[in-house]
Amino acid sequence: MAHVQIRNVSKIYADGTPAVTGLDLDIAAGEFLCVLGPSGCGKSSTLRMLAGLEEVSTGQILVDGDDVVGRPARERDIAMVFENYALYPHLDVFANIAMPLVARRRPKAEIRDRVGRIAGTMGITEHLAKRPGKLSGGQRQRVSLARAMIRRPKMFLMDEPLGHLEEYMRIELRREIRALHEAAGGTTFYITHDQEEAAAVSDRIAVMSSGELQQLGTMKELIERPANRFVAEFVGEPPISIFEELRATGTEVSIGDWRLPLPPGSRKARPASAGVRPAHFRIAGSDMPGLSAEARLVQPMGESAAVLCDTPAGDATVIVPMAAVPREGDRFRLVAAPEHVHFFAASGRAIRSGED
Amino acid sequence: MTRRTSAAPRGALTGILLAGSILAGSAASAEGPLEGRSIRILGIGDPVFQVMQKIHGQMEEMGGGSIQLDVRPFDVLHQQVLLNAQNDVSNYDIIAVDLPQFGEYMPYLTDFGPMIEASGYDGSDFHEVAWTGAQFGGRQLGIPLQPHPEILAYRKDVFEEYGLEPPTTHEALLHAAQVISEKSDDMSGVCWNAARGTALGQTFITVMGDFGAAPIDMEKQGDDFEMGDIKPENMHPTIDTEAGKATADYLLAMEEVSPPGILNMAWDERVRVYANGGCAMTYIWAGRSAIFEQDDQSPAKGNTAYLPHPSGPGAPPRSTLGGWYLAIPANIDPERKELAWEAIQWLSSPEMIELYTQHGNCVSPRRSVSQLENVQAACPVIPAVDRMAEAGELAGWQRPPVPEIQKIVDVLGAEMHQMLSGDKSAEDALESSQRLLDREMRKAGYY
Amino acid sequence: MSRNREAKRAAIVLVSPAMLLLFALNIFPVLYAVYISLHHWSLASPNPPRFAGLFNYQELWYDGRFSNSLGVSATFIALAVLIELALGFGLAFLFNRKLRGLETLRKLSLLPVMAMPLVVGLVWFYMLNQNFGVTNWVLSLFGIGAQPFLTDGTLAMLSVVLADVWQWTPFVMLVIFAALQSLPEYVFEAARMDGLTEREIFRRITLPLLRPAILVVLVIRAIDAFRMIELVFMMTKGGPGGSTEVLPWYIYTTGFLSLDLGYAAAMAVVMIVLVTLGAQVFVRKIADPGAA
Ligand SMILES: Nc1ncnc2c1ncn2[C@@H]1O[C@H](COP(=O)(O)OP(=O)(O)OP(=O)(O)O)[C@@H](O)[C@H]1O
Ligand SMILES: [Mg+2]
Repeated sequence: MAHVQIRNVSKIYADGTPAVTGLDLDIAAGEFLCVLGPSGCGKSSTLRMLAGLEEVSTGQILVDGDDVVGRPARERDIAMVFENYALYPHLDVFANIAMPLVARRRPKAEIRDRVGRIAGTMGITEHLAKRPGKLSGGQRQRVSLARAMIRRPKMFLMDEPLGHLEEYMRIELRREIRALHEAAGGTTFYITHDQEEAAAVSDRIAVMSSGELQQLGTMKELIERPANRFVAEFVGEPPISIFEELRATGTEVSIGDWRLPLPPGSRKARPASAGVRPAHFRIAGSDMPGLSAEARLVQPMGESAAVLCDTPAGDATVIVPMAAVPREGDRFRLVAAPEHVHFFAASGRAIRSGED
Repeated sequence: MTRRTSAAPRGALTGILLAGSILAGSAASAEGPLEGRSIRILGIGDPVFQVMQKIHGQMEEMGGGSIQLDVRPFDVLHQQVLLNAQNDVSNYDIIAVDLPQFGEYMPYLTDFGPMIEASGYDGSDFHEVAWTGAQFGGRQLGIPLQPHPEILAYRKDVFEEYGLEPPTTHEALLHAAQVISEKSDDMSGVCWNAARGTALGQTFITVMGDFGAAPIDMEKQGDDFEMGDIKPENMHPTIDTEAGKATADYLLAMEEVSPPGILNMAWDERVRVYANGGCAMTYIWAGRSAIFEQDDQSPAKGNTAYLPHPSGPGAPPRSTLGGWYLAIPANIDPERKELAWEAIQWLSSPEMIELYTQHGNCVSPRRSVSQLENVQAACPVIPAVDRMAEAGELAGWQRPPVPEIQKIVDVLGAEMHQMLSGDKSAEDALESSQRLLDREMRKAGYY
Repeated sequence: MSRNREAKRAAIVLVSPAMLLLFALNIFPVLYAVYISLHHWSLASPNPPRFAGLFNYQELWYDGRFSNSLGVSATFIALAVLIELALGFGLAFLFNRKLRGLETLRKLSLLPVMAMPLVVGLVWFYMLNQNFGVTNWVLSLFGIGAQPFLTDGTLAMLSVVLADVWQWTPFVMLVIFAALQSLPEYVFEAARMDGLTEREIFRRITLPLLRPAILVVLVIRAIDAFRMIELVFMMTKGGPGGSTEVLPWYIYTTGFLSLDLGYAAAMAVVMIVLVTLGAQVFVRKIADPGAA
């Protein structure tokens, strides 16, 4: 169990690529942290610096208060799952999984026992005698996971460990990973592209973009209080509806023909855009105050449907229960509670009440 | 006017002639013996052919034709001569033959007899031993080009300094070598061929000759052996004999007074070390003495005296005659035979022999050439060899002209090297050489 | 049925040129060597070749020089190839570091490979020669007496090995270097994460992953070293005694100097058999990495 503090860490590669810039992250002991962000935003780089595989350009990484920068990977007591599995091609699956124990000189019998158990959990028992080259991508990923989870290290680092698996396997394994995290009592740093997965396994989520941390919080916080327009747009499914054309008049602001009170924090920064999550819109009669809209496209999503609408302020999406789905061409108004309307300054920063 | 007009065509004619002569090599100046034709020679990388390569342009001009000269290392030449003999028509007009190889090549060579008769050629200017060395069963198989003996060269100045007698015998040589090795810091006693293989094998049989013995059981003829007619019963090896033992002992004794690295020393190195003053004596093929006699830097230049191969107790001095003859392959295109004969007469003529001596080949098989002052100045060894020839001290039987000669040399070169490097006693080396060669002769079906 | 037959015939037609070529280039010369080896066949003798049965092979059995040359060849191969492998390996790892200047050095180090073996032999002969060699002169600067590099049994073998090592280590280095460069970086990262020490990584990861390359270079070098003749020819002629007489040199002196083709062919056949058998073992190992 480790309390990890990443302090103002930057990574600039030898070729000058700035992969991570001024990152500050505080991960509590035993916490399960997910990292979300678009491709190339510096997730793997951060993880590799934690692992000790990549040098830190500037900044500190404290584990339980000790600065580990410069300490070799093997002394950090970390298990890692690599994006590309990183299995030993010349060893069979058994030997691959056993390697961390072999390195620690565990007795043969114990190794056999523990490898057998984890292989059972991962469903790869029948492949133990094969070389990685003979396995499918999903099977390799499970071997790679098994190798990481055979120990109880201080920290697990997982770089998209379930990226190549089928849906049902992913759901099952992420439960498994979470359970293992709990049992091992380690701190887990987990990279994923899948927001649902992030929400399901993590305690908190860090959203990164262009090498910088955008927001750190629970999924609920990211959805309800996005720190900036990037987070608002990146997190949430279907994506938030953003309105670029605002007209502010004194104490009011209008989105198309929808007039709202200016949020309290907007005195310093004028709102430049606003966003409402599809789930927070409601459909109201045309006579109600709100944003007039015309249904253009209905996308059923099981029990509810996403309805894409044309409005005077641009496109908007609303989620409606199947029972109340409008027909295409229907006209109505979209309304949302003021606390669900997010305003963003021109810089992209969210404008919040209570921030003046 | 008339003069001027006639001048122009004449100039043009000369131009055409000139161009023609360039195109056809020196063919146009058909003055020389080649008469504008081209001659193909297979030679050896030894001084005389190296001289020919060096003055190739001059020779083509003199010969009045083109000369294709292929120079090969010893082994390769040997192989090519034998392979060429298998062809329907020879690829060469003239081949170089080493004296001891005549036995092996006999079936593949043309007899010069009829040609000599028809052209009234006179071979009496050649040393008797050189001329008759190429006669087998009444047939003349080669014309001497560079026959020369392996003799001993020693430093007159050094011997004088230490008050030593000329090393005419094994005993004198060993004594002198002993004294010089002891008294001199950087000069050893004697340089010789002790490198494994052909070098040492040849040393063994030539030294055996110092005891008046040959490596096979040939008929004795006075102090020498009958070589013209070697019969199967003469093929028994005579290595494990008293003479063989004496030879082995002499080699072991010489090893003690030799320069370092003697076990790897061969033809080139022994002359070079001697030329640099590394040893006071060296066994040497006479023709190679040009290396120091024509080198102003060498302390041996002008300070060298020449003796026949030092002899063993009670035996007369005998230096092994070897070296190169010109011969015509038996399978030569008959149309080219006359040309080959003309070319050989020319290449072995007094003028040419003299020319070779001036370019680093210190061999003259012709009495008339040996008398020339410029020849004697460039090659002090030539008059010395002449005297040995006159005294009958040159012989070829040390290397009997039989096909198995190379095998004999090879076996001795391997076995005796084991002895010299201390892996085997003299007795063992002699015994196993004898046994191996005996087996070889049986295998060849002689007895 | 008939279509099957037709396919078979087509296959034969298509394959036969390749088979013929293989036969002409590879198999025929070997068969011819076998044929010669069954005869008393001497180029030096005017007599035509006589059938000799297994005579030449029986001779081999009793020929001490032959068994000696086999031993010398084995010693030479073992010494030369092991040293080349060890040095080549070390250099490959050195060059694998991304240090400045190493690039040029690496290119320079390849020069010996391009030299003709005969020239290499000549150069080393002159360097190690006791009378005018530069090596002994250099030693004398350090107050060390002249060494009989080419005329002492052990030193002569080591000298020939040295020349071979000088010439071929860069080749070994190059092959292993290329193999090292092609190893995936992530495997080593995984090993570090798994807690292996550098030495364990070398033993458990690097070495096994380089195994195919090592085996290939081992086979190439061993076969090549078995065929080596130039260095012995230029440096020692097989001496002193027979301490550097490798099999090819004995074959050469028998076949090309004494011109006893029958006997030389018998030796050559034995050599081909040995090479083929030896290579088989390795090739099988390369083909089946499972037999680790
Ligand atoms: N070894 C390297 N040398 C130079 N640049 C690198 C190196 N590794 C990564 N980068 C660059 O650094 C940036 C961040 O890369 P990183 O691998 O951390 O992204 P990521 O967030 O993991 O992306 P993905 O989701 O696609 O895996 C990218 O622009 C990448 O091209
Ligand atoms: Mg990544």
